[in-house]
Amino acid sequence: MDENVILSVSGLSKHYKYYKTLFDIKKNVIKALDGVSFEVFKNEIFAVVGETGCGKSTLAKLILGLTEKTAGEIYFKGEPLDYGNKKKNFRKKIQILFQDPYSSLNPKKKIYKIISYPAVKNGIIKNKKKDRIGFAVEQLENVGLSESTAFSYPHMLSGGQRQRVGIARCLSVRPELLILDEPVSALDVSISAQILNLLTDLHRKNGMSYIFITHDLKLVRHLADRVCVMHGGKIMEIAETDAFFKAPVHPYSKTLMESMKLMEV
Amino acid sequence: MSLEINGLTVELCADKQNDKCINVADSLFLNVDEGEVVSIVGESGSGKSFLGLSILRLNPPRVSKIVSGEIKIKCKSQVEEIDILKLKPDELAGVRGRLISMIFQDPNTSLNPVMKIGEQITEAVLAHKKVSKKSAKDMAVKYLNSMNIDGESRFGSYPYELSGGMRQRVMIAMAMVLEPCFLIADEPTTALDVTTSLQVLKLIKELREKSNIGVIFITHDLTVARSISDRTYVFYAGQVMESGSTEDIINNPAHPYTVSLIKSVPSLSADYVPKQRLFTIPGFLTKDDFSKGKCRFYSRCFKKGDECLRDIPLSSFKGGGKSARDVRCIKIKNL
Repeated sequence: MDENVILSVSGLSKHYKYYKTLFDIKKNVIKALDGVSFEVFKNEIFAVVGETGCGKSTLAKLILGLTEKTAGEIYFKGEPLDYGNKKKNFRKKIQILFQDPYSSLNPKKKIYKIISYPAVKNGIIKNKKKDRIGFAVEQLENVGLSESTAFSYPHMLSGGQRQRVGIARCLSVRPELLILDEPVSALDVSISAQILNLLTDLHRKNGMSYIFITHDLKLVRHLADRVCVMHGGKIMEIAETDAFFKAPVHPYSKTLMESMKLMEV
Repeated sequence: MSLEINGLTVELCADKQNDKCINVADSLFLNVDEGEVVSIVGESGSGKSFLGLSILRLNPPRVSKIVSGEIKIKCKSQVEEIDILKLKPDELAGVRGRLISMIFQDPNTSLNPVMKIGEQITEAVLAHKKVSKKSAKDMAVKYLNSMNIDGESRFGSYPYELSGGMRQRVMIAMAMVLEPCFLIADEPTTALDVTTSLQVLKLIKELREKSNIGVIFITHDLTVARSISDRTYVFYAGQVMESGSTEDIINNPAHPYTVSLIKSVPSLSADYVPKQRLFTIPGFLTKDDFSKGKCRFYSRCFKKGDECLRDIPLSSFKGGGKSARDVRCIKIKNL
């Protein structure tokens, strides 16, 4: 196993079964993810692109262990990824930043509680109010928010501020791999530039790997080292970003590129 | 055929007793001709959707009030112009849907989940026209077909059986079935992904060519505005900051807000350097930006100075034989 590989996925599949009617005897299968294999290297920003329903989010769910896989293997640093393994504590090493900052923060909890919870759970700090506030303020500074934010509730913050809180929360346990599920698609243009800059800065500072899930090729070009194009649960093309934007090989990548260029400023 | 908004001012009040009101639209001038697509670009909270609602007087009556201005509309069948703001409630019903129609942002929540889509479309026809149920159905099927949906087989489908793009097309069919003169499209592509939103944009373009309707296209995305509209109004905190032909504005932006908006988006062009720091607009849109006595973009502007601390008028420029451009910035002397 290569030292530089942080995540290795081979032949990963997820099939959903359903019945067309109540009395349907035959099981129908939707292949949300069908035999996907790729590797993510250390310190790399790996972009996954595709339209709605192509399996991008299913892939994220499988890597996070939020749903059972049908077939295939996932290795994290050469070890099989198993969230039941308390000793290895993979939960701490892989974190996710959700798409919608409006629904991914608990509306009943103050910001400092939201941010420090993963750290308390992982035994990084003690479950004391003073420790938790101190820790949260430190994390908030990292993402450019003021100390006073720690005592507000999510509804008191704007969309961009909430997404920063989301970033502070997933970075608080120092993950090695961060999955970004459409991190700026719910934000305004002026705010999304702020968040993208923050993500690049944090990547330089902390040296993590990102899996960047998006449908916007402009963001891929801006951020990513390598691109993976998905369609209908399968990988169409994996390429270095520069090479991909010079000349996409797969016909589907070409269509995607054309439609983006039509809407280019 | 034209739609003209003159000096429209809409007030939104959080607390009527204490007079805590802001102008979500501040003496606004806007016009749309037949067969023209005009886009309104601005970020969330800038009051662009509220403007769309106010044109049809759908703004919530308990908290908001149209203070002054006029909205004049002249349709093909009419002899005289009518002012929407002077209409009585029952006359207003004849304007909504019939002369001006609206597509709402989120197709997932704006369709009735317990009604078949065909019935929802025929309901609109039967409310406005004295036709039989049979011919109303025929019209619905015809319009579904023109939206690339198989009208016959999909007439009895419920909204949950359709994909997001299809639902949005049903919404457009519903808006178009009465053959209005004007269409207000409030972020019709925001909830859709790239390939489906291209289809929807293409449909709106075709509609414009076929039925010659005027479209007010509300969006927060300059790329979308460029691909569809002839003219653009850049909107910030209830005021038009810049208006003119879309190509001109994007190629040669004048107002600092427009300049910042264009700079802060990564591009796909060949000379773009990846991984550089993006240009950002500091802070975010707040309630204070709506206050009077200063430029509304003052707190976030990179060009701000002391002379910006008063009400800034919209001034017109005619630069080098190009189309007219209005800019609300005191720092700009010529284009």
